[in-house]
Amino acid sequence: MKSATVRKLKTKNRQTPDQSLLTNTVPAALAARRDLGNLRYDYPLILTSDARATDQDFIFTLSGVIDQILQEIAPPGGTGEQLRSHILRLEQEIRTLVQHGISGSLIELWELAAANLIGAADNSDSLEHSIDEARNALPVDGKIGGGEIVDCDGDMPARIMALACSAVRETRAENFRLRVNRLIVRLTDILHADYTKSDKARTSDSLKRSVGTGYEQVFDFDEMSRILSFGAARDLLSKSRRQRIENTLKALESQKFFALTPTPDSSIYEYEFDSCAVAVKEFQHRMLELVALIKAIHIADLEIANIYKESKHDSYFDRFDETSISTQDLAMFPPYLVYLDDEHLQDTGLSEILAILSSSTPIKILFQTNTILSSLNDPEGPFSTGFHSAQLATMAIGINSAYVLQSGNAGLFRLRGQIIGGLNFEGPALFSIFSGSSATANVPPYLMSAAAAEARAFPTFIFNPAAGPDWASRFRIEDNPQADMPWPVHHQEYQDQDILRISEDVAFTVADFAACDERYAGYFDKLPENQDQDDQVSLAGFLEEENEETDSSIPFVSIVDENNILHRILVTDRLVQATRRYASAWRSIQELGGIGNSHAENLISRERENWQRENRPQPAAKPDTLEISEISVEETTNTVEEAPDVAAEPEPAEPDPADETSSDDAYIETLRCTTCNECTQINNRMFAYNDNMQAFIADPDAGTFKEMVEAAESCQVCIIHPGVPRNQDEADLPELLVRAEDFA
Amino acid sequence: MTNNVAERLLGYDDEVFGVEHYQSDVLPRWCSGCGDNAILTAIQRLCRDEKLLPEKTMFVSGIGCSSRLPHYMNAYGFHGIHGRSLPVAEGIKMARPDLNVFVTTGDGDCCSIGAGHWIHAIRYNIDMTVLMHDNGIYGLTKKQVSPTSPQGLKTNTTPRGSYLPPLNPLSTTLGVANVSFVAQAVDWIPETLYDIISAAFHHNGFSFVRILQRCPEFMPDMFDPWVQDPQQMLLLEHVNGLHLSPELGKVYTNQEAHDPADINRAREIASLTEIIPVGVLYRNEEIPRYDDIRRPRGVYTNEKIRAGIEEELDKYTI
Repeated sequence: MKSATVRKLKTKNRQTPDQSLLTNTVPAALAARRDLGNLRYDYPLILTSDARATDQDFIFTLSGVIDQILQEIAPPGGTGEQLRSHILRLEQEIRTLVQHGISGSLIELWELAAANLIGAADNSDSLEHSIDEARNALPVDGKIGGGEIVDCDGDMPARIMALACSAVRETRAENFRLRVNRLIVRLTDILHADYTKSDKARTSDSLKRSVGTGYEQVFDFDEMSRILSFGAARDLLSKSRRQRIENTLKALESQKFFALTPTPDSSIYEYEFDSCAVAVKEFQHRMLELVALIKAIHIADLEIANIYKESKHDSYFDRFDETSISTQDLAMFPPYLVYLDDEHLQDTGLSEILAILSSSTPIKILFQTNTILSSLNDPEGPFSTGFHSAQLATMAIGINSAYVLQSGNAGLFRLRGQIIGGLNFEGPALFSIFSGSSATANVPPYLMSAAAAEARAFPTFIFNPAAGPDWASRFRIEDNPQADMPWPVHHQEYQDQDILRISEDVAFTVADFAACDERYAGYFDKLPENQDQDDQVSLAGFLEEENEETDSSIPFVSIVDENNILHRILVTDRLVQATRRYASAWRSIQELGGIGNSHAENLISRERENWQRENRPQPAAKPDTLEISEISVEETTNTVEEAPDVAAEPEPAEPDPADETSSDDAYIETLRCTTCNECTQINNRMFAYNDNMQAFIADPDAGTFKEMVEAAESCQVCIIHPGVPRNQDEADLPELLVRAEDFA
Repeated sequence: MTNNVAERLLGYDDEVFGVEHYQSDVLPRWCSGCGDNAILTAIQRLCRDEKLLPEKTMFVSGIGCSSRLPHYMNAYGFHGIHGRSLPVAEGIKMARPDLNVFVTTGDGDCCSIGAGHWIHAIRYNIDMTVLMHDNGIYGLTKKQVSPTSPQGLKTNTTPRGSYLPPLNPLSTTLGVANVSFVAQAVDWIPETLYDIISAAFHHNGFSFVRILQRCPEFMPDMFDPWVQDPQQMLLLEHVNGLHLSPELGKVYTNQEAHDPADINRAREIASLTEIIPVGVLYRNEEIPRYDDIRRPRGVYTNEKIRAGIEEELDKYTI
């Protein structure tokens, strides 16, 4: 750590912050990406407007849709080159329109961009033809063509979350409708079947109604009623069962968690809120109804399977309450979504958020952060809460049972699967999103949010408690650029004043992120004019050298102005401190993510030392000793090799059950019995079947030796062995013994 | 919130089933020593071990000795008409996919009058277990030649001996498009009979098991060479097929490691004549199932059905 004196030296000449320092500049690393209109990346997005969108297809990228169309219509190689070129120009034009704030569906912007391009083209025929061909391949439904095309802005996190939540809800609604409607139909069938067996259903009037008007003259319904009543079944539903089924039906049909038809229904519950307290209150308020509905579903399942037993199930369902609900039960219902932003941390919001994240409710919180680094102009000054809001997700991980996703706006499309994963997670979830939206930023929100992730000011990570039992399976940080490095390093080339090419690797730090936004101008200063250039060191290098006493060095970051001129600006102490703090936080995240884990590294280090100590070369031995040692080792080896292979010795064979039986005793090879009934028909006390319906000798004294021999002779698979007669006085024994010899 | 406690409380696990739960009040009327008894026992053991609910289990048959089996099961049964067990079973499975559907048929019922249905049932690959009792004779009608009778067999309908070589049900089944499970069992090795029926039951699709079955009355000596000499049997063992117990392995030492995924070797094995192979010849869980393809994706409520009928009838409104 450098001394306070050094830091004072570096800032002693600083005047009032020069707000113009960052006017129309960007960090040098972002200079090439300043104009996003020329780049092909994963924005703008197409947000599907199809209410039937599922969690697999609720969001698309413009470039993805264009790629799909080209794959379909443009032949590979030179033949399709012109078509590809035309459609990629169209894509760029659409992107430019979106960046200029023009909104609408993809089809609307497609038409507008096509008109612009065709109007400006010298030879528009081939271009028009290409666009028409591609237009025909564009799906026109609400999912893609009719979907709204939007750029990355401050509203994007909430819009994506709303759409994802709606898609998850729709997927669950579909499954719920299928299940509950099926239960309703089957329960109704049970009641209907019972009705058809009742006397009421067999009255002549009822029979007449069931036949209808077309043939009512053909039948004698009185006679039909008399005949049908004569042979009517009397196994009607018990009163309690009927009551139970009717109550269950009522609970299923009156629930308000989902509409039972896909049509909109205003009586159905809302699941999106802008307050934690209201979301919790609603969840608790609906709990009684939820319990009743889940209970009804379980009862319906049992009734339909005809396995509801009042002696067993009545008491269980009498006690059925919210503690009886399983996570699988809850997974049938929609997640609750709460929209929050920075301002909620100014009051009591934090405790409410943590209370939800510590619970087991399916409440999901979108926490949108618009400010990561507080500016010097903030009224709270150095104690402002900006840092805390950015660290909310890290705090939530400590709870250990909530799903946590932190990402910048720019990464949301790539993390759409993880967003759905968080919404489907059985417990609470926190989605901490940095919007990148700032009125004073010199780069668009997409770049601002991407820069925050690059600078480790707002790293991307996901903590999923359901993914496994340990950090290795639960925590994921690989979505960060160069995740194994303290800072991402980019190769940079530029020309100096003498038009010589300069090539260098530059790290992207929190100071580079701050240099994107004019409101952070106060964190920078001009380099003193008399400053020796050799003492100027990049901020990353400055932090690395902190332990070395190079007191004269001054940290800087490079920025590029609107004329593409490269400048260096001084990084003030406060920003150096902030950068150090973010670097430390990132180091902790890396460790949790398995990168450079200090415990593991210490262990490896200790083990390496132990190994080296144990394998350290011994002092040179005398020649004769060495010979003995070598011989000894060799002999030992031989001894081992030549030793009898005890493990290879065949294990004693398992005794055959037949071997254990004395040849004097009768027995049956029961395993081979084919249940042909021959022996049991001869004497069913002497021969019996076991649980597998295979014969054994139940009582050898329950019959004669003659019966034993006859059974052996009758057996189709010759598995009865009569043994020796138990009664030596039995008649005709000599003849029977001869006959028995064949089955010994 | 609890986890799975409800499932345990509500499940079927506490139901204790024995073989006797699946025995009907009607005693089997097969002849003493008939191999059908062994098949019946194996099925009842399977039902017990799988805890199949009798009201969720369906046995469908055609005509013949084998087709009497549904009468002896305490479950739902459909004793159909000659050769038509398979279409009946297909209809049942399409309408009630929740049922466990078994078909018991014989060599005459399946390979003669029902051959057309048999071929298409294989191709449809609807999820059911088909047990073809093959005793090589029409036994119920007192000894007429069947499609699988050995050539030269003298019967009431072929007093000078049958003229044609028998049809091979295994080769035939393995030759039909969309075949997904073919196995062969014999009634006189109960352990493998049970294991093979169990494998067939667990197969996802149409599982065809040919069971060589002794008829002590009309074909008393037909299988004697194989019953009396285990070396004449070839037991197909594989991790994805039949697993032999050590006891059985000592008796039936003639074994082959056969991968049921290998249809070419399955066809070669099916063609063996001197040796009787026992085991799973072919199994492919990936074959599309007609009942799955055509499974209704929604719920047909009364309102929906009524609306559909109205819509159809409206087409003919003048």
